[in-house]
Amino acid sequence: MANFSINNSTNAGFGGTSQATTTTFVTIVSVGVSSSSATSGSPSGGAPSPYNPRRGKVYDLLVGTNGTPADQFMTWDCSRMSVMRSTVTTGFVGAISSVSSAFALDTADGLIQAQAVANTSAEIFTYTNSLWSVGVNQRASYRWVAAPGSEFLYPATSSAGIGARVLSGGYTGTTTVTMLFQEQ
Amino acid sequence: MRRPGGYAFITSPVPTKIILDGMRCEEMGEGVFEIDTFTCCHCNSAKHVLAGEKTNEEYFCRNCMARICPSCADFPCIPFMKKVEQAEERDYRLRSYGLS
Repeated sequence: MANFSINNSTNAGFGGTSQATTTTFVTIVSVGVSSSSATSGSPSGGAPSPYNPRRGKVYDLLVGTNGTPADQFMTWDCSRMSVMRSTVTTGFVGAISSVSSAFALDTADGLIQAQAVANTSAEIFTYTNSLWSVGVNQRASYRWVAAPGSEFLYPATSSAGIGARVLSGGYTGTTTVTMLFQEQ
Repeated sequence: MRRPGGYAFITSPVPTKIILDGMRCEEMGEGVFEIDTFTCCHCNSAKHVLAGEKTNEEYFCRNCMARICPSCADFPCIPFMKKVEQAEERDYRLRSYGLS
């Protein structure tokens, strides 16, 4: 079982730029299973063929802001999504997908099978239920670590995934999210 | 709590209020605020548990012998792993037919 780490830092190889926080939820980082029809087109080479969906577990989540410190309320949310989209060529920026070895915690683990999206410029995902929600001051940072067996799990089915998103009524700067997950 | 399903900490340079699980407000001082979590065995969501807070009595599935969240308390026991396995089985069959 390989462990991976993705974040929305612009120097992580995603190419996209961090998106501004708004009064509606903005997805910062998401990870999930692409549809089986995923094809090439991503900066990192596209999905492998044949595409073998893998079950994944999000076991660590770190959120915070990197804007000018101020007292604003931030609502962080991690939700399950039902529409992950199949390819990265559908009109949004910031997707990285599959066959990338840049995100493995252990470089010997090889390639990521999941589709990960960071800094998407268009809110294209469809969310179902919230798995985790916390509201904190903009100055605060939050970290959640799951005990073994208590991770956020997404099934190896098409378009299933988990996304971390944020909204704020006052803060309009950028945020940082790091998500560590494991593929089965 | 005994055998938590996770662990969270919030670091804030100023005293502030936090809203946990979208439904309750707590106050924290400056510094690090530590809190246990558990993951619902029916819906896989994480819930925060303050120190000394009891969870076993109110929200506990006697079938799974595990904690569940308040939202799942009124619904029948369907373990989350069972849902996952059913979804994967369905997806596998659809893909084998070329329908997914």
